[in-house]
Amino acid sequence: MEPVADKTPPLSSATLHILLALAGEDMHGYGIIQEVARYSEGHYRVGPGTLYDNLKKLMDAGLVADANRRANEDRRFYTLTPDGRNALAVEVNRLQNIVREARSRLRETRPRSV
Amino acid sequence: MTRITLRSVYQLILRIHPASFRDEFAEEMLWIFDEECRQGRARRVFLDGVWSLVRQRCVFQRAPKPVTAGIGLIISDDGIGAARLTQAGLLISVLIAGFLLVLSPKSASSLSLRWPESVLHCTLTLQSPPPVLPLRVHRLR
Repeated sequence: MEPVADKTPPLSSATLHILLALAGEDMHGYGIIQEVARYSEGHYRVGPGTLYDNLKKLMDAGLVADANRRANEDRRFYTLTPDGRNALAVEVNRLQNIVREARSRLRETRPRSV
Repeated sequence: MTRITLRSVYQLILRIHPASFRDEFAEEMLWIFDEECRQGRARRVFLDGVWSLVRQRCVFQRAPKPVTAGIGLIISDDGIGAARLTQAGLLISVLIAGFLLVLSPKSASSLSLRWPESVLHCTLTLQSPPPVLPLRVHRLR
């Protein structure tokens, strides 16, 4: 299904990473931090303050929700809602367009002859 | 500085967070703090906690309900008052000074303060227009 693009501003890097981490599976807070650090190869690590600040906003916006509590788990798990998945897809499309444009410009640019 | 002291200060920071945020997330934040401390990332998490406090107290709590379309990225466009900024600056200064004081002199001298990326991001998303400087054209004679 094609993501529905509306006039939303670009996501912040923290928001993007949180949504991306949750796109794979439901996770608790520390799981999100570890997942982001893993796939960014340690270049980006979300702090707990930043994480929960963004999670609260995402939950208020209906993009992330509480997941059903798992058996033998006393931690709170978070899940991506359909709207959250759509917002992530829109952002990925936007980034793809930027990359495409950047590649095209880099190909066009020739070093100046001195 | 012992981990217990740092943990106590971090708990204090969590206690100063707005009640709605604290009730919902403080326990998990403290758990993550403990986990990160074990891996030697206490300072970074500590500073992140301070910044989280500033954001919660001075920016987002002040704004009305965030616009859904903005995915929480839009801060109210009425700006931040000077009093709030001063309050935030003082709070940060006191917390960082306290943090540095309880550090041993050796570690204090080698401490490098690296603000998390969120600091930069929030600064950029304040959406306050840059001051317009009067343009003067000097005619060459």
